[in-house]
Amino acid sequence: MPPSTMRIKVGEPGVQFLQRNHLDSRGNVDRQPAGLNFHKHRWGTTNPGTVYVEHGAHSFEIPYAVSITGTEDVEKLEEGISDFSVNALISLNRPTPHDEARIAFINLLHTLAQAGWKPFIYYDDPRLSGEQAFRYHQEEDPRGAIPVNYDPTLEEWMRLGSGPWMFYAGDLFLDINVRRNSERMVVDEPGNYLLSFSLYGKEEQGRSHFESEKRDQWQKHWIEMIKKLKKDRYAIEEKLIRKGYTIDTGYVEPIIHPADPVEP
Amino acid sequence: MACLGKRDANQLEEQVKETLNDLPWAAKSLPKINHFASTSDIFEGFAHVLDIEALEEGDEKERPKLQLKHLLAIADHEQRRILQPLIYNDPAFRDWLIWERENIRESKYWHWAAPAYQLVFTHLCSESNPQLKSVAPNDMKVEDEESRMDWIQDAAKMFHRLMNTKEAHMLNELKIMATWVDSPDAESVY
Repeated sequence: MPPSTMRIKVGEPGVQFLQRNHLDSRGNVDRQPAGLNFHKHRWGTTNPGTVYVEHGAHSFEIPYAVSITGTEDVEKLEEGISDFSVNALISLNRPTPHDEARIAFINLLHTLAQAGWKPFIYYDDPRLSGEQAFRYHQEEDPRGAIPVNYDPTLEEWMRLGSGPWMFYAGDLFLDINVRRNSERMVVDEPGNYLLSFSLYGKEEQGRSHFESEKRDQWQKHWIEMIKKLKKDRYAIEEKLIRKGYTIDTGYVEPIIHPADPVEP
Repeated sequence: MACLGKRDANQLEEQVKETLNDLPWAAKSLPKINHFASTSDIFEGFAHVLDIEALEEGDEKERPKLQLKHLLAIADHEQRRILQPLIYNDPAFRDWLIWERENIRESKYWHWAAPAYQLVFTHLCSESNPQLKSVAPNDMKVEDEESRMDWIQDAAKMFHRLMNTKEAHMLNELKIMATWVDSPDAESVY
């Protein structure tokens, strides 16, 4: 009988994930012919479980978890499970009133901030924080990432896209997306919500900046790429300053590559 | 994008409309799916296509993220706006799903008889190695919206990861699948 709480740690070998969570390798590993092993457990929506994300002082719990998927590349078994996806309900109250969902989500953002998770900003996006970051998102980049240190009002919440809200803590990254049923978006009627958490390490973050064969040589191309992206960031920031924005010069970026922080 | 809002099976060229209406499922199915009218999910999906097309050289990191958003928006459209009214809302199908889940798929003795929902990203029709199978879980409830979202999110992310990390293998599989349109039994489908 699989437990109602499972522990995950990015980078742990698939075998270890299965053993310590009392999962059977036959029923819980989906070995795709292309060469990826997906380690899975699904509680379902009726009796959701809890996922405890182990990351030292930044550990946290994901309540009402519906499913976990951990991905292992058969050509890179030494890296272990390079990323975990966790899907979770926003509340046990389904369908969920939109304001209840909004408050639950804001509480989640605050919990993560208290556990030391910091905002992650794409290298070519401007360094903005809180209300300023949200204003930029609404006016200039509505399909881009959503700032993690701003609490949206109900009216803003209804207009938001699916995310991502992006955090990092040390060498671990966390993206959260909020999936909703587009047919149930009337403010005073309940909606359908599913939270989708993606946890991955710096290797995966580095690779995600490149396509095809460059992905596996990301370290070699990193400096050139970040120089270009940051040039774009600084050009946008200059324009924003002229529009009255305040740049968050105190933003601390994660260390992904030995040469970080790379500057143009 | 300008023509997206105009999509309507009733506004097709007369000859095309006649051919469409002659199809055996047309009279029963077209009204249920609002005669192919665009939906907010379709608008969102195509907005992401425009974003992808507008990417400049050096914007590699944006492409996969937009591709996943596009995939999920189109999957939402297909499942919520097409399959839901056509199939899941059908009382007979809904009853069958519930009966199947409660009586067969949860019984270890009768499990062999259940047509398990299976997802394998390969052109081979039947995957004989049980370790390579992706079998949908017993409690996947396609008529439960959050459960359906969990299933589609998980399937989309698996596909997305495979396409990003095993591109050559996946493209080869997709090329083989693309030729199925010419296979002898395709006539009964198209």
